[in-house]
Amino acid sequence: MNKPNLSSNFFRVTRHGFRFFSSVFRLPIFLCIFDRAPRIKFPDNMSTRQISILVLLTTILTACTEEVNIYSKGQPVPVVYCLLDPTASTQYVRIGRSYQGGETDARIPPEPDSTVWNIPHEVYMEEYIGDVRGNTYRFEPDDNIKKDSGFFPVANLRIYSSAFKAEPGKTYQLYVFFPDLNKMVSAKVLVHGAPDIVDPLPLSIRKINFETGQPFVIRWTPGANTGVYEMIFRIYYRDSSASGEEFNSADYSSGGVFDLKTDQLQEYTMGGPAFFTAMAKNIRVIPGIIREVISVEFIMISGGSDLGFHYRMDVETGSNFTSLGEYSNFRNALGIFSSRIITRVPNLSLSPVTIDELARNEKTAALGFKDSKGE
Amino acid sequence: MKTIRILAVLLLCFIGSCNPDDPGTDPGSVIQDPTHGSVDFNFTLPEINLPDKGLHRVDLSLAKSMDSLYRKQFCNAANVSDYKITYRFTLLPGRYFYQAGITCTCQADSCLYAGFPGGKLSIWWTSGWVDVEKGKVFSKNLIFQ
Repeated sequence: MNKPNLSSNFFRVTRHGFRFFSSVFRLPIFLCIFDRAPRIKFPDNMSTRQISILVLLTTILTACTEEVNIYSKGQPVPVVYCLLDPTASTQYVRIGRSYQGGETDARIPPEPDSTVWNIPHEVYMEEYIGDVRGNTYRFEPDDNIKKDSGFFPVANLRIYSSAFKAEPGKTYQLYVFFPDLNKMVSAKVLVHGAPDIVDPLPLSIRKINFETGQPFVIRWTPGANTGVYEMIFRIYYRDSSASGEEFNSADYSSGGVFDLKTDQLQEYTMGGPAFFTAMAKNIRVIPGIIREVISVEFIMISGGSDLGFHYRMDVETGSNFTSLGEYSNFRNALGIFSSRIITRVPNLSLSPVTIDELARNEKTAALGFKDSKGE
Repeated sequence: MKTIRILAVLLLCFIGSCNPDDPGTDPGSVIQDPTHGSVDFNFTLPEINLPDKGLHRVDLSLAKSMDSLYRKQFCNAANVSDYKITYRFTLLPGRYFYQAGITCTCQADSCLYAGFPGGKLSIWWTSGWVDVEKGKVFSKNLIFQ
């Protein structure tokens, strides 16, 4: 499919329109000044009509070229999210639109129709190897994907999917075209490479120790163009009570880690008291329950540069998509188009020292974990 | 005029005043506890005829007694790695018993012929003891025979 990128032409036309109107509106002001400025002398043989035309022409020709924000308050803006996943065979795009809400009562959700585009639009993506264009992938509405946990003001979010595998090192250009508005939304991303995790090694006989004074050092070789990481140790445990057994998990996360711009071996330290604090926070105290650690999974989530910028802005502003001033790499819209890779090292084990501390530490003793001897 | 001069001086003081330095915190500094001593284990992998990537450190644990070591009732353990040779423990004075283990992940019978008793993924152990003295740092070389 060869669809021209209309966004630049659209902007040019729009800007000319604004330039013209802003000049016309300034004309009465110019005439007013002219009328009250006795020092300005025009030739006597010029009529008032000629002078007016001259002033009008001068105004139009010298009109300012300042940028005009085409989105005034209340106008909907496309909001687009897409994180390409090189490990997945299907890619997803979420498209919504901005809405005004929360100024009076945040508990009242917006009208469902005001959060989606009910006018025709096309979603497609072009693949580039360097500057050479390759395949074009068309996205279709998808009702099968489950939502993540979190706050959603309405149920009818629009998700689109396309079955293809994004490849690290290739560039992808996402387009959303609104024919009725003659509007093109677009963004570009260079898919980052997967990290090569060195520690933890996938060896269950090597135990993971979070004892205070013996920090665990995560080591990895980063993939090219990576902008942000999150490291998670997921602890799987068994709950035993009178009502039966249940398997659960709790996460100990590093949070976002960025500013690691190098292709050398990376190191990041976790463990110590923070681990026990995380367990105490994420596991509910249930009187009478007996818990036993089963295994540990290490998960590294890496994101592309734009996701890194976006995350960093959230951290530094303390906001979470609450204003239109958020970082966005879309042209003519808001949102993020980036890449994300989840790398897992499963079937790891906690060291007996950590299991004992989990059972006896003052922060976690109430959780009911057995120690390494099963007591 | 006098009032203006006073105001000018106050303004200069206000503009030129510096922000006090924030002493902040120093999360990286460690106060040496004079009641403790340290031991550095030099965990060098043995020179055997195996590819480097097939040989891994898997354990370095300490116990208060030989019996506890046998029962795996450890008091401290290190997060061993193939990228780190020296491991430090800061402990109360006394005698500690250690065990260190390496494993082999090479294919076929390479591990067996290299000396790993159970072949691939079996553990080759070494153990011993160290005495920790207050305020001193000892070094211990781990030897696999």
